[in-house]
Amino acid sequence: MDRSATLRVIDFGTVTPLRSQTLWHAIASGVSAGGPPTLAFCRPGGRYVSIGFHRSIDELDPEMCGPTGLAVFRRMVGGGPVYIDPGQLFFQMVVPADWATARRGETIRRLLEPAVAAFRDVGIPASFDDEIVLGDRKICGHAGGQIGGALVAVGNVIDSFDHAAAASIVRAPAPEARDEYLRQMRRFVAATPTDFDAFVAAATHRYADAFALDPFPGDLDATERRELDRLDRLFVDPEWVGGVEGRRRPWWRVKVTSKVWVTHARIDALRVTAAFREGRVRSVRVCTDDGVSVATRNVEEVMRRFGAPRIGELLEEMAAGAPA
Amino acid sequence: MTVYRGCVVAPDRHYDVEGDLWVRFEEELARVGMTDVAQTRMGKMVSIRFKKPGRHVPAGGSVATVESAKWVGPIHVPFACEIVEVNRDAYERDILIANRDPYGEGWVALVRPDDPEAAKGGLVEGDAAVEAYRTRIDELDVNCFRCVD
Repeated sequence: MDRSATLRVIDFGTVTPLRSQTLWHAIASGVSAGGPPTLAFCRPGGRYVSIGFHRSIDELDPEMCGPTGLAVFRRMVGGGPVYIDPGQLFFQMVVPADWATARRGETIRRLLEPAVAAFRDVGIPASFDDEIVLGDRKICGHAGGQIGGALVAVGNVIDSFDHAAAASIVRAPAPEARDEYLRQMRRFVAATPTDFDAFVAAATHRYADAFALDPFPGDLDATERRELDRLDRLFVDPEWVGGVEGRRRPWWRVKVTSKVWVTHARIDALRVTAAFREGRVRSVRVCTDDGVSVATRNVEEVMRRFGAPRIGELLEEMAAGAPA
Repeated sequence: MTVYRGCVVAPDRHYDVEGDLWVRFEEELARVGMTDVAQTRMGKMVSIRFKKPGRHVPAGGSVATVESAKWVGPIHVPFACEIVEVNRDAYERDILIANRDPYGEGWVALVRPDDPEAAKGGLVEGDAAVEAYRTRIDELDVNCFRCVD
């Protein structure tokens, strides 16, 4: 069989949380070593947290995550901390690194567009707008990267999403910051219940078609299995999970979608929480330590009420930078 | 300095054109960084993770890993070397430094090649580098741009 023109398809079914990460990293090693492009699927059998390669473990709530809470696994692709549970089906497309297009943004789009088509095939009119969306709601978390000599794009199909659990894994500087994060997630992150098997079939067809490959059902080879054993050990190594110290930011911020984020900062005795969409304020909540709390969309009103013009300057600075 | 389709090819360097890496030899050391094409292809950086100074990197190994918009990728060095210094401070001050100044303040690492002459032999420089980059830029159909904000 001419491996260069085939698409190995592996549906791992339900696997442990650890294996839901290490399996596709093992595939990346196989593709790096000359294995065929591979489309993989799996469903995690339990709840856990996945954190992006560069992100600080300090972003996670220490009571919810880690030794006394949910397992944490650090992936080798980007993005922030995410909550994962059995209500999510994961797909991974792994291709040789020399399939990269001129720009990374185009590469990730090329690797995700067949998934968008698969969503549509199963009756969900998704589109790609920096991420996979249904209208203005994110319906698929994704990340990508080059692991060795392989390009990897990962994404999920969300049958049900526990917004409260997802909000709980993040270390928030104040209760109102976590509340706002949860509120914006409920507004902008949606589940799209569908038949996972139908999605697997549709995605297989779409990826094979998009890359002009012949799909065949496959499995890990012996080399990949050895790599899987190594990755199983690596991913539970505290040093790997701990990663490196994160960058210090002047204020706390958390991403909801590629266009929506929530920030929090303190100005003297005032705690300011704001939600932004495409750099525009969606809501502002100002709290004082003696219990006063004002929520509004009107920034001028907040500035008048608290006599704090610095709030306006702060919001402008917060609006300027969307988090990764 | 040559500029082609907005992409600068600095004259005083060697290049690993396929890897989009520049190398400036400084006596027995070599300073490496991303080319203008590399930073353009990558887009705005959000993170970088350096290998530790003192570590030996095999030919084709990475000295750092960068992230832009959820995409993580390595910076490979085509020759075996030891990492002497990394430019951590500059990237901590300004994570977009390579997007603004890839050939200057945005250098990535200072390394000691195991065999400097052999390292040079695997790279291109001068007119050959410019010509190789013209070809690559056309193949990629890329126009370079820098961050200014």
